[in-house]
Amino acid sequence: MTTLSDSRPPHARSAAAAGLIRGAATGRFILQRCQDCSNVQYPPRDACHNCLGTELAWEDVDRQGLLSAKTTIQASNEPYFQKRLPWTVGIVASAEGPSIVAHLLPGCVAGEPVVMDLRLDAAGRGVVVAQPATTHLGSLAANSRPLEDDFFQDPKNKRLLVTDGCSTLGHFVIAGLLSRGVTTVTAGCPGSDGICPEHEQSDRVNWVRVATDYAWPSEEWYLAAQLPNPKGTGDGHAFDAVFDTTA
Amino acid sequence: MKYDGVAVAVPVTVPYERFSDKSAQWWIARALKMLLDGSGLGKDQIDGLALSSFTLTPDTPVSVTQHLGLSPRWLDGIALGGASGVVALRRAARAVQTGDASVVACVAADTNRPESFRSLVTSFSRFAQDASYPYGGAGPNASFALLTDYYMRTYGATAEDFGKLAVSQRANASATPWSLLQKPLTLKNYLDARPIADPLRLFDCVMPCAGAEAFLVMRDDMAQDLGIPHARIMGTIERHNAFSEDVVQDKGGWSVDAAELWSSAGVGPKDTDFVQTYDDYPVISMLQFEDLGFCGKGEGPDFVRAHDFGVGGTFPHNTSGGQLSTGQAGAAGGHLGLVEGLRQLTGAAPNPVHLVNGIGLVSGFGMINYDRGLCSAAAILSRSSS
Repeated sequence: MTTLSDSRPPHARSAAAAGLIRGAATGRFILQRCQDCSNVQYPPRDACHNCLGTELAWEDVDRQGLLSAKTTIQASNEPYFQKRLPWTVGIVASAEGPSIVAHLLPGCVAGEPVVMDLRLDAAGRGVVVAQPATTHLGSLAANSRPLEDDFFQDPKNKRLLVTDGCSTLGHFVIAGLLSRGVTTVTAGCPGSDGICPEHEQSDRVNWVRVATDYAWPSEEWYLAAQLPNPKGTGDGHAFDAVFDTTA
Repeated sequence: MKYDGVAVAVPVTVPYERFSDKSAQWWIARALKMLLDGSGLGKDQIDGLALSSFTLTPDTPVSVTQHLGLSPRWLDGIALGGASGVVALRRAARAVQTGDASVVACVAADTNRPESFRSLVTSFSRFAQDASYPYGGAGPNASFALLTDYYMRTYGATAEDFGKLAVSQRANASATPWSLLQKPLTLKNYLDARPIADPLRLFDCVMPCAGAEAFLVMRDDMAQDLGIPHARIMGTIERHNAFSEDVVQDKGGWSVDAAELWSSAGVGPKDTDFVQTYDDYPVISMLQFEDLGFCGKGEGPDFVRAHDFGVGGTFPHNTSGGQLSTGQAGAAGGHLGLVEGLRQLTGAAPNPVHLVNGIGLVSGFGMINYDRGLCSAAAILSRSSS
C-alpha cells in the first residue's frame, strides 16, 4: 500500500480515540467522563478506570493544566517528524486530573500553566496541543516545531474533506463543522447505493462515493472518490484539512 | 512462603548482534541448546518453559514447543518486557516447588531487523498508539526524556550524575566479551554526544539489538545430583500499574513492596554484594536505588555521587555493562540483569564481584504503555552455600 508517512504522522488509532476528532471538528476540549462516577480520564478507554462503568461520554472539560515535563525530540522513528525536528512535546497535569502527553506550541515552560486544545494533525486525527497560558517572551526557541500551522484549527473558508461522512463519527464531524460556519464540506459515502438518508440534510455537503476496500490516504482511495490525488497531481493542497472518520 | 527446595542455575547469554536476519525462534533454540549443554540435561527432561519475546509473531509460546520439539507439562508466556526475567523466576520457582514441573527453562529472546524496532514501538500498546507515539514518534526515548526532565528538576540530578552511571557501566562492559559497546566512554564523550530527546543524549539511550538470555529453575536435589553450581531465591516482588495518580513517574512499584522484599529475605540493603538494575536509561536505575531502599526518595543523585559502581567499588552495579553497554535484545533485556546476577553467584562471571555475603539483588522494569513503565519486579538471590 502507498504510504505517505513522510507527509503525515502516525495514523493508527483505536475506536475510542475518535472523540478527539470530534473535539477537533467542533473546536471543543472534550474528554471522556464516566456517567456513573464522573471521573474524567485520558487516554481514551472502553471502561472507567475508577469504577469500571462503561457509560462514557465525551464532555467539555477544563482546558487548563500545568506543564510537568518537557522534551525537545531531536531523533524520531517517523519520517514526518524527521523532516520537522526538533519537535517539542510534554506531559500536562490537567486540571481535571489525568496526565496528558501533548504537542507543545512555542513558549511553553516546564512548571508553568498551559491551556490545551484538540486540533487535527496532518494524519486527520485529533491530538492534544498545549500552549502557554501566558506569553513568555524570550522562551521561543528558534526553528522549533510544532507551530500553529502544523495543526488545523479554524475551519472557516477552508477546503475540508471528511473521509466517511456516513459513520457516526462522520455525522458528528460534519455537524460540528457546519455549526462553525463552514460553507462546504466534501464527505465520502461508502454506501453501495450512494444514497444515505442523511445526505439530504444540507446542501453544504458535497458527497463523493468512496470505495471501502481502500483506506485513506491511498492513491486508490482518491481515484475511487474521483478526487485529485495530492500525491499523483503534485497538489498537496486539494484540501486544507482531512478528517479521517473511517471506522 | 520461602523458596525452599528450588535452585536457579545455568545462566546463559547467546552473544548479541546489532541486527540479525535470524528469527526469534532461532535465538530461542540457541539459548535452549546452551541450557542443555550447560546442565547435561536432555531436551525431554525440560518439563517447564517460561518464554518471553516481542518478535515471535505470528507464533505464541505454545507454537515454539512444536517448532523446537518440546513437550512441557507447564508453559507460561510472560509478556512483561523488562520485568519478565524476575517474573519468570517467581512463576517457575513456585511451579517447581509445588511439583507442577521439575525443570523450567526460562528463556527470553528477540531478533532485531532495521525496521523491527519502529514496528514494535508503533503498535506497542493501544495507549501508546492513541496517545503517546503520534507525539513525535520517538517511542521510549521521548517517554524517558520526560521522566528524566521531571526528575532532574524535582530532585536536582545533573547530566554528570547520569553520565557517571553510563561511564561506569561501559567500564564493566570491557570485561564482558559479548557486550556490543566496548569502546571506552569518558564523561566528556557522554556529555558531548548528540542530543536524542532533551535532556537525553546518545549514551543515555539503550541500543536495540538481537539476542537471548536464559536460565534454569529446578528442584534443588536435581541441581545437586547434576553437580551444577546454583543459586537460591531469598525473596521476590512484582507490582503492576502502581502510583497511577502520580503526574509524572518518579517512583516505581518497587516502593510499594520493598519492605516486604527485604523482610521476606531476612536481609537488608547493606548486605548485598551487587545490584543489577534494569537500565535502558540511567534515570530508571536511580529510581531503583531509591525505591528498593538503597537510599531515600530524591537521594539518588547524592547516592550516585558517593559511590563507585565498578566490581571493586563501594556499590558494584550492572557488572556486565548492563543494557546500556551490552544492548537491549527485546525481552532478553528483562533477563539480562538476572542472568548476570546468577553468573556472579555461581562463579561464572567474566567480571567477578568479590562476594562477602554471597547475596545480590536483581530488579526489572517494563512496558511503557503510555507515559510510564507499568511493571516492576525484584529478587534477592544468594549463592547456594550461604
